[in-house]
Formats: sequence, structure tokens, C-alpha cells
Amino acid sequence: MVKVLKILAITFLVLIILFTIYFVIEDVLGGSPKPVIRELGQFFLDNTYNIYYRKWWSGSPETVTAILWDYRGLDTIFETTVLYIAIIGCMVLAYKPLANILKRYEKEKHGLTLIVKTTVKIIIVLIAIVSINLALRGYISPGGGFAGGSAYAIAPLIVIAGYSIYYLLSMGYSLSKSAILRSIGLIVLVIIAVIPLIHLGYILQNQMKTYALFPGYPVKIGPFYIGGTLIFMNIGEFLIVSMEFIMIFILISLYTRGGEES
Amino acid sequence: MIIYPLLLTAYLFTIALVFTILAIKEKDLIKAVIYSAVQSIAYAIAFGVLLAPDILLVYLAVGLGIYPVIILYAISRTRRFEKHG
Repeated sequence: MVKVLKILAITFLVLIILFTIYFVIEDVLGGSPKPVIRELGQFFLDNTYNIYYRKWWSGSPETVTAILWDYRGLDTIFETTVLYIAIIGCMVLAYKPLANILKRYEKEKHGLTLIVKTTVKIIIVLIAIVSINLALRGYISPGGGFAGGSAYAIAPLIVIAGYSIYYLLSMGYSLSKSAILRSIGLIVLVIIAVIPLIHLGYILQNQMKTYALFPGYPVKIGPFYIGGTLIFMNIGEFLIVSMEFIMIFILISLYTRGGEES
Repeated sequence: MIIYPLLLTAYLFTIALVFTILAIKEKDLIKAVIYSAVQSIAYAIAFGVLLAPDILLVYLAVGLGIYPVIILYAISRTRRFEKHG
């Protein structure tokens, strides 16, 4: 019976591959990606970084980040809010005071072998550099706040795996610091979003528009190209996302450990 | 030609399908998480082939780093092996 099922599964997969190849080459079933850009994509390509016609431009050559934080900015703000509220719920459910737990495990030596620990030391530096680079250069190259933040959260994670959660806490990471930093990130987002409103523009305005009085954020400061609001938004989102994931990891690992011991 | 990237995408998505089925069938839950991570790799490369590097970066961090670890923590709170039911 199992053999029959295996043969059936393999024939099914081979059929799927053949079917996909046929579909791709012959293009007979419905639509397939054509080498022609659709109207919406053409709009963004034409206007995102059009320095000659600035009516709809966003001051950044990275169209994806421009759509996320300028054209569709409110969507991203609401996503960030959902994540923020989810983390508050997680804290309420899983919070326990850290002081007692830390005292109990202070003398214990945890972790894997020396080879793993040395590798972890090298890799966390690389991860930190790459993720901060992703976030800060998100307005000119692929990446951005969410990608950078979630990549940064991997560094404490492999410290927990290679050493222990207590080593991570002795490195200076803590729940309260993470909470403060993520609130700073949220305050950055709010300030950048509200400043145009005070100057008689609309909320989350980035560049000059004909129907709003706000003249727009500067695209260049001195020799540095900053792309309007996008760099600040990316920094704020980086802080929020990375610190929220770190909070979850600290909470989960402490919770697991405490459950085993008690 | 647009055909060759699409063929590569079809291949990668088929691999993802295979590993999804393996992850569902597997009784050892830790192996199932690893199969699921392999499926994430296939999706991430497919996004790269489809010229979506932004999604690729997020998918690598979430699908290979954060998601398996959270599931592993969840498994460590219960049994490792799925019972025949």
C-alpha cells in the first residue's frame, strides 16, 4: 500500500513539473508574466525618482521602500501598530520578574563547545553590521527597516543557542532596555509623520505636493543624500522590529527554562 | 528570455512542495521543522529569481531564523514525537 502511494506521489510530482514546463513555454492557460510592465508598475517607475517632473515623486530610487513609506505609508504604520499590540499581549501573558531567575543561574556555566562559541562571536558581529547596513541604506538599495530589524534579531538568538540566555542578559540586553528602545523607534515614526501636519500638509507627507502647503522633507543634506522621510522611517522601524523580536526571544527562553526547573 | 527564470522558479516551487509534504508526513517534529526551513530556502531563492530582493531578505531572516526557533521552543514545551492517532 505504501509503495503504491509512493509511486502515485512521484508520478504526481513529475506530472506537475511537466505541466508547469508546458505552461511556461506554450503560455496557453490563463495569463503568465509577460515582459511588458503593467500600468501601475509603469506609474511607479516613471514617477518614483523623476527629478524633471516632481509632482508625484518620492525622492528615492528604491521604489519598494518608497511605496512602503510614502505612497502606502499608512498601511505600514498600521502593520507596525499590530505588531506593537501583539508584543504587549505577549508581555502580559509571559512576563515574570527577572531578578530571582538571574540570581539562581549566575554561577552556572551553560553553552556549547569552544568552537561553536568562537564562531558565534564572529558571526554576531557580521550579522549586526549587515543588518544595520540593510536598514540605513534601505532608501537606495533593497532592504529596509523590517528586513534589517528581523536580521538583527538573529544575533541575540544565536547567542542564546551557543552560550545561554543568562550570557545574553549579562551582555546588556534586557526586557526594559528593549521596551525603551522600541518606544523610541515608535516616537521617531510619530514625530516624522506629524511634522507635516503641523506645517499645514497631510500626515505622513514626504515630498512637496501641489495640494499641500508643506514644502517637503529635504532630499539632500549637504553632500549626503537621505531621501526625505524614508531614512528616518527605516531607522524607526529597525528599532521597533529588532527590539520586539529580541523581547520575544528573551521571554520565550526564560519561560521555557523556568518551566523545566520548577 | 523570460522562460529560463520561470523554469527555475517551477523547479524551486516543486522542491518546496515536496518538502512541505515531507514536513506534514514526518512524525519527528524537529525533523519536520528542518524540512519546513528547507522549504523556506526554496521560496527565498525563488523570490530572488523573480527579482524581488526585498522579499528575499525578509524571507531569509524570518523563514530561516525566527520561525524555526519559535516552533522549536513550542516543541520543547510538548513531546518531540507525534503519536499515532
